[in-house]
Amino acid sequence: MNPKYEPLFTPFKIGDVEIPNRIVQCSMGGTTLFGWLEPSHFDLEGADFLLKRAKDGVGLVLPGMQVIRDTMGRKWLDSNRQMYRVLKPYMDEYHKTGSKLFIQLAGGFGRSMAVTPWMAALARNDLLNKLASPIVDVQYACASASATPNRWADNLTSRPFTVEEIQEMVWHFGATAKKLREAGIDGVEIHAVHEGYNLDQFAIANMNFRTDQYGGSLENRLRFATEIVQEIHKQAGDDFPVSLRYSVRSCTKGWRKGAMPGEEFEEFGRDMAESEKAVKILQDAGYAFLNCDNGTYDAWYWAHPPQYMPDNCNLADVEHIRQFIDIPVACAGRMDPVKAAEEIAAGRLDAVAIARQNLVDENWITKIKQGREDEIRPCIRCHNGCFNFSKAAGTENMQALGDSLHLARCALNPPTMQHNRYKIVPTKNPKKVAIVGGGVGGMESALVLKKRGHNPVIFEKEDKLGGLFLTASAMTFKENDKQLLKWYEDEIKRYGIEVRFNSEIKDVNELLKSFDEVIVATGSVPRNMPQIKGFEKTRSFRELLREKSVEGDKIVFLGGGQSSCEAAYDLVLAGKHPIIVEYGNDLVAAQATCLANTSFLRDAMEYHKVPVYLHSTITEIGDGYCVIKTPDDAFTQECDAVVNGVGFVPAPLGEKGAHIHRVGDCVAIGNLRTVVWRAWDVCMRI
Amino acid sequence: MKKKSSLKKKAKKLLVLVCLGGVGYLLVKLLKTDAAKEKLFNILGEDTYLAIEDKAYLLGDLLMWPIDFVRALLP
Repeated sequence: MNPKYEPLFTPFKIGDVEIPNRIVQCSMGGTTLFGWLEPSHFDLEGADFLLKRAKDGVGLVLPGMQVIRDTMGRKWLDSNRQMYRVLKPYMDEYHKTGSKLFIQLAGGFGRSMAVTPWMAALARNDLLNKLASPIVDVQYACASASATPNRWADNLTSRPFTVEEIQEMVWHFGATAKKLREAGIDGVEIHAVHEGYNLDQFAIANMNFRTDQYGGSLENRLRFATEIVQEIHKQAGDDFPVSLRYSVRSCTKGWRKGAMPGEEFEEFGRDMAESEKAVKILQDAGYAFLNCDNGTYDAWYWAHPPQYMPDNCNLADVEHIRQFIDIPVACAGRMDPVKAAEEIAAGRLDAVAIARQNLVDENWITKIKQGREDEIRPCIRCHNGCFNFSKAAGTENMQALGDSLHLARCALNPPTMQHNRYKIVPTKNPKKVAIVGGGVGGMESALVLKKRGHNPVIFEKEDKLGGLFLTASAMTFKENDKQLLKWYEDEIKRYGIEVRFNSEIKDVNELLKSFDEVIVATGSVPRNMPQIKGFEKTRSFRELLREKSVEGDKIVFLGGGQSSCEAAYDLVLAGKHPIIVEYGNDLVAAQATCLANTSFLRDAMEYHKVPVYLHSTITEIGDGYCVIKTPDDAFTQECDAVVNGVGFVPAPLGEKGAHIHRVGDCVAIGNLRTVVWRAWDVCMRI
Repeated sequence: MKKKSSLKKKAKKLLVLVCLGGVGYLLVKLLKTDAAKEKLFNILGEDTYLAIEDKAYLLGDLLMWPIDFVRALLP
């Protein structure tokens, strides 16, 4: 192992419990032991995933948040005796790894509940909500400290919890912790004075207007959180360690408005001065560990940083707050393990909390220990598979039902949290397979086929692998994407897969003469809109980002999707002045793109004063100008270039056949998840 | 006599249901094998097969809700 990682592999203590190393697997919704948004049960998929993480060497595993009362079925978590009986032998097995496991118990979502359209309809109608309440009580699931607006649905306000409801919940936290301890669980983490979840809504003055013992002073606003830890100690024992998920600062400017890194703003949530006092109160109440980052659902990109956020984005704040308490502190949020090791060695941090890297590479810790860190598949922080709650102006949570039921899957690693569905089964009938196109779809197909025992050959028309992803990863802030491309290239070499560069295939049927199967992964081409006068003058993303042949300062994007916004942000960082023209009512209004990613881009455009014209289009493109038509006006905009951001269309080669398969964007335009999962879907059956 | 024949009818119905359930169970078990999936993939074509598989998984998830709920009630 490279010595720079050594500080990560030293033990530390939470209360009386010794954690074997400094790596904490941060809780991720969906990686639960008792099911996600289902009637609670011992979840075999979650259990398999968590045990594998322990075997890889995570010191402390925190499974996904478990609401203290089931959202579906409304049973209290402590009421399912069968579940705890099954848990006991599982924990015996788990402890053989040496890793420790704390269950994350949650006080609910409150106004952050990611309501879908049907949930919003129930919540807005008292009668419908009452009728549905034996199965799901959405008003209860959204209840908060006070009547505050829902993060997701317009015209939906949380109802305040009654004092009796709060105290009922507090008692059940204690009862559940007792049962968990009896089943062999090492501790619990309370979720959360963090990220704008329910307990955080009690803690933040601008979200808590109560006049009873749970509102007003900071002590009162933290009372819910302090009563929970006291009740747990009362029922489960004083020596049962209780961690707290904690946001040092909210980084929030107002309802649904986050603050950019480096921005000067007036804090709407918890600022550092209040946080310095809060952590002392929480420590004195009995919390033994703070698992920290920043943000709220209104500033979601601090808690779930996309690629646009800087590495270690919460570290300085977490290290600052650590000086005010004596209990150990972990930091989460795009943490670089090398930086974390340095900080731990310097005594400024106790542990590093890492989440999504555990989804994308199930052996990343083993690879570090064996000095094979260059083989680690990087997380690109896309949230497409693990956390794709999405929202645009006027919508509720647009996430597909199948995704709501299965968080914490991985766009790049399909077997994660679906290990029975996606697996490498060696073939009994090895075949020669030609793959047309060396983009991500082609490379992933080749790797799956090779691992199964087939003999794939990639035909790539250019002189390098990557395809369309070479353009998508070209932006300055897309370091993780570039690492991913490098990882693919290395894997292709490591598995000895033949690649024929500069080989453009014109007829797929010709390939069938020397191959048993053909996979077409030829990607997509930019969509044309010839009805726009001068459309042929538009420039492509490839020209702008990869070839860098688009010159000038003022670049207009026709279309406000993710590609346009990312490219515009890249131009802003380079000191240029982009303009976005979008036909719809919001930027990046895509169903499968996480709100953490899209809200960053929307907030960034506003912060950097990028002109954005919604409900608008371009009617004419000329040399040095374009005509923008808004709902009220049409005007001529001077510009250096117009970039075609209206999307892509599939560009498959040839016809499909019994032995000719399609993978990637040439099937339908999607994202890396659709490309990679389709590659597995097809290549597992060949 | 009437009572006896209606009991017989009920028993027959029950037997048919049990048999159908058993056949259904075995069929699902068979369809879950990799060999069967590969065969179906080739017969139906990749797009139809993948669309059906996706829906089947979603249906399975939804069916588990009441099952988990009832299981939690068991002693």
